[in-house]
Amino acid sequence: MSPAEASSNSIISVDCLEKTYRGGGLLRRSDVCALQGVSLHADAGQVFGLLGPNGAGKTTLIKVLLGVIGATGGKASLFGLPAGSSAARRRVGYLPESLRVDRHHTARSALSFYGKLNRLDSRTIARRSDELIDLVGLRGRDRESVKRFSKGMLQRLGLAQSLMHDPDLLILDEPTDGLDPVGRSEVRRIIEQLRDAGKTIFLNSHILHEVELICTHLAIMAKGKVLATGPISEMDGPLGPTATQIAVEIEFELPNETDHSEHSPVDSKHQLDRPAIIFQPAIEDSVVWVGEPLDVDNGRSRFRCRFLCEDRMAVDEIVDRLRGADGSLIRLVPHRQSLEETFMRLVQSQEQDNVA
Amino acid sequence: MSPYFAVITDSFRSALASRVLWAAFLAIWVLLATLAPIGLREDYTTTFRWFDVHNGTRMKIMLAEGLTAADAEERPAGRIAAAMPEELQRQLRRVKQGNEVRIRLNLLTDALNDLIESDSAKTERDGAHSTADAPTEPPAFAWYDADAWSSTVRLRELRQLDETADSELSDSLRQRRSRLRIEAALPGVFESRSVRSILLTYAGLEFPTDFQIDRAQFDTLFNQFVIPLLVNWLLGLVLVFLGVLVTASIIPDMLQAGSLHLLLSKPISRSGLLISKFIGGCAFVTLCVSQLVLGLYLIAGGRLGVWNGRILWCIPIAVVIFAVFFSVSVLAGLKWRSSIISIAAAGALAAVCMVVGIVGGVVNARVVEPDRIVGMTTAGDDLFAVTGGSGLTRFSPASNQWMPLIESEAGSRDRVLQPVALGTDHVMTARIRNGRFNPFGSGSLDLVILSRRHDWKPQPSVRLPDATERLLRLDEQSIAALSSADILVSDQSSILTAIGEEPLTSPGESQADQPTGSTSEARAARTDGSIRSWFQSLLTPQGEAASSFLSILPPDVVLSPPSRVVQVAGERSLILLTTDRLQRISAENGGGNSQWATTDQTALPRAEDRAPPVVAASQRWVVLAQGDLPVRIFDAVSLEPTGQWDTEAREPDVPGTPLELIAISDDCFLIRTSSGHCDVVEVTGSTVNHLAELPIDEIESVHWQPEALRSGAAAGTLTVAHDVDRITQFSIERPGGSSDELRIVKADSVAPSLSIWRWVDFYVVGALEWLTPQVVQLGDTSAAMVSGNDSLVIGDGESGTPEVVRYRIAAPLASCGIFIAAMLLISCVYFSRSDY
Repeated sequence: MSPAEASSNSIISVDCLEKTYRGGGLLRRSDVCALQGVSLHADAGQVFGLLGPNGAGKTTLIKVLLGVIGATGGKASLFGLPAGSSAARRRVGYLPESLRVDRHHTARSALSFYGKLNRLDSRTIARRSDELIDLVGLRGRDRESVKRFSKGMLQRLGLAQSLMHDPDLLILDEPTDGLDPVGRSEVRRIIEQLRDAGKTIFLNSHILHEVELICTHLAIMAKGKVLATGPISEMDGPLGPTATQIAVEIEFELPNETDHSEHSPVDSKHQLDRPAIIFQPAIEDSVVWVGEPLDVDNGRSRFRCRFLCEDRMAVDEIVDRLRGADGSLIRLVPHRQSLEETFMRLVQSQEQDNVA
Repeated sequence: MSPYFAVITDSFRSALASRVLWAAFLAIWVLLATLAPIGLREDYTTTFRWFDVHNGTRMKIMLAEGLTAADAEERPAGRIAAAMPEELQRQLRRVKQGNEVRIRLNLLTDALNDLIESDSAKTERDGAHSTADAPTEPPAFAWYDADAWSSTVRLRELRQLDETADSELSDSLRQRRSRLRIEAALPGVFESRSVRSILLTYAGLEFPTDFQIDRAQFDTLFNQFVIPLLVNWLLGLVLVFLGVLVTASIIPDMLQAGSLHLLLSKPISRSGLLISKFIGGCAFVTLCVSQLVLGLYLIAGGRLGVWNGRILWCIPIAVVIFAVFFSVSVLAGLKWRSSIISIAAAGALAAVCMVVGIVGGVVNARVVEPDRIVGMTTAGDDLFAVTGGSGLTRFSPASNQWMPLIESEAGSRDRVLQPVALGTDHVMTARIRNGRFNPFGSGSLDLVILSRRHDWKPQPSVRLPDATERLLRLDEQSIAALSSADILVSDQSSILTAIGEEPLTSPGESQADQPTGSTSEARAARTDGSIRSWFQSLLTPQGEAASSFLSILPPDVVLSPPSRVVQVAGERSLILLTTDRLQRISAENGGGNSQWATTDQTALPRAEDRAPPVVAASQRWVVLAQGDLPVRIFDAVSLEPTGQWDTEAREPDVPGTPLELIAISDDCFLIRTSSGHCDVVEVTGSTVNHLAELPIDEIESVHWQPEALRSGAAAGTLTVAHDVDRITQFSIERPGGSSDELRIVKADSVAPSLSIWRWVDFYVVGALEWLTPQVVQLGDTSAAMVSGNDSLVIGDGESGTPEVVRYRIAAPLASCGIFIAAMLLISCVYFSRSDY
């Protein structure tokens, strides 16, 4: 997967963005590199998911985009305007990770307050409040103190306030974090409605399933770096860790060795030594056996594994070797990784790199 | 503006949702409800209080004299003394016998009050007898007798009351009449009090206290003491502290991630957001303070009759005080994101301000005030000054310092009389031990002479009359000592002889002024039957020690307070101002120390203003100023009023309370006011024209040294003490009267070297005061704004110039404003540059 290139209708454009939190104080704490050369782009109409473990730098990236904090290197822009500029912020709706609304507010007064901060006039505020209260399902509770609101209701109120000024870009920071399944479903439904309405949404989450369900595009971050970015359809494809590798799943049968019948039981490692002969040494390391070998009729055993190879020639050679060993090819398919697998693989490899 | 206004409103609503706020509201309402029943009742001033007595010794002596005189029943004082309790009479008789008897003033005033009561009761009974012939108890001794009182000087008010039938007088008026009769019987004994007094009540009940003052005093007390006290403590401390408690959470709450990030994502500036939050907090405190101040204003107006709209100035002042602490709280909140630390920071600032204020006050009282020049004189080229610490100093040009002749001391109870030059080689003054609060002081009172020949070392000379308050040099031969009850004259040669120096004038020239044997006889003749001279002999057991001084006060003149004595410039005449009249007395036969005679007098209405009066006299005009009353002009010879200068016309050019008037020519006068300025004015007869203002602020005192007197011309040197102990001299000249231009030329200026402690005060304490917000001093600002005056004059000016407290108005406001602006600027920069 390759980093997305900026296009003419880029809403979010981030290039080599860096952010280092300076240590300091009497204890001279060390600096923390929250963003290390982050680059990504999101176009209009996309639902762009930012996926990463805690501490990956997702919220830091959003803060830079909103101008809450300043970058220490690189560039970030929204709508072609410098990120954090007042003009850019006018076109952004934002739902923070854990929204805190002052206790003296009702849902309606909070919407009015945030509407005024977005420089809306009273009439627009009244109209939009009615629309959004309906949209987020707070009708009937809108004049109630937020002190009595559940977390889900607060999130819905947060979504409503982020939409008050009908923004071109919606930035949602962990929108379903801490919600129960019903709450998540409600919030997800609203986001889907907004997606269907053509809003550009930049979503930050560490819930893979949620991202998988909602997003059209994705960036995976860990340790302040973007590990992968692109359309979500490409994220769960047959790609290996490098762009040229192909993941393949193969199921085949090999005849049992006759002299082995005297030795029982046979450990599984020994059982897998013989089928390994069909793989070239270069591939052998990437082979992952799936399940135990199965004895089938006619003194044959069935094996299943996945491996990575560079090209089709390598696959052909494996088939040739199988046939040469009097084996039978049962199934040979390119393997499609789940998003979780991709995420885990990328994050783990990042950790291994860091350790190395 | 809309988003920022929304933030302000939201902060305000946030604070409004606080329980602490409602507790504060409740406390305010309870306080106002508690104060609401306070009221006042205005009634005639009837009873005597101990502080009404101006001269207790004189009262004792007059009563003793009256009691023991052969014709006691024909003397008002005798009839009053005879009606007093037996024990008191016995003590008065011992006074007459020459024993030193201490009688507490309140015993005497209680006895007089009993007389007032008994006279009123007697009149009531008499009225009852005339309508019903019921038998009653025998009448008490009737101390009042119209014939006996016929010889007394009665005020117009008393004359009117005497002419009114008893049946037409209320109880209060009858008691008032009795009081006035006693005052008439004992002239010069009591302070002048207004006709009506204020009595404080609570829910209709009178306060059980001696608190009895007149309306003007009450207004002054209320506006200049009570309201500033409320601003300083109730508003400045309690409400501001509550305000800080409630608002301390505004910034830390804003900085919480879920709140701040959302706010910062909106198209508003960080500085605007922060300042809006700040204003929101201030708006909330304004609401609290407004309730309290409006409540106090309504109570003061509705219950006490003080409808003073200037009280509302306390609202912005209290908000400024709060803003000072809130600005620190905001900065601490930004840095540490903790309400508790915000409160602690505001508390720490309050402590620092308090400490700096106290240190500044102590240093000022202990270091600066004792050096403050309160009076000056010049002898040749030498300059002498009396200091606020009751010291006497001479300026030494060689060392550029004031050299002490009599040590100045902080909090001194002594009083040094204003020095008077006797030519170029001698200066006279006196140091009255414990005389600051008691005109008689303690111990013997000697005239002190500073002689050039003795290197200006103070040397005791002749004995001064007791209770001497001022010294005057009438001419080259005569000096006068003004006491609380008398004017006594001596000759210059005798006081110089007393220090072993030759008289300045030839014996032949001063023969007429010498208290020779024949004048002693004359004195003996005059003392016969004279209460004043008997009073003198009683007070001076040594007798001869004070014999250098002879009384010149005509028998028909009583120096009842407030009294002022000034010399007509260049003449051997004095202008006397007493409670109700202006008199001119002159030496009979043009000279000598024989008793002087009243040449003219004019009656004055009783002054409503309680400020000390000041008088000056040239050969053409006598000018009288008192507080906010119009400056009145009288003909210097006939004392006929010729015009006045209305206060409205005066204030734009010469603001403040007049403290000193000096005639510098026939028409030109210097007027020094409590504003710390000195102006030259021209008297035209019908009014006064402002000629020039001296280009000096913070004037402490002035001294006018005329050149050889030229007919009608103003020419001389004005020495101005300012900024504690700096000196600037001006040469003033107006050669030919009103047609010529007044020329004021700055002749010399001296800034004495600072002592170590003065240096510490100026550079260390001064720097601290400028680095910290002067919230403590904002009490001055509120006092000035509420009272409408920029200064407070303390004292009646009987024994020298009254003390002036000049309120610091602009400096505390500027200090607080700069501090708030600096804190907000730092906060905005910090907030804008910080990552959250």
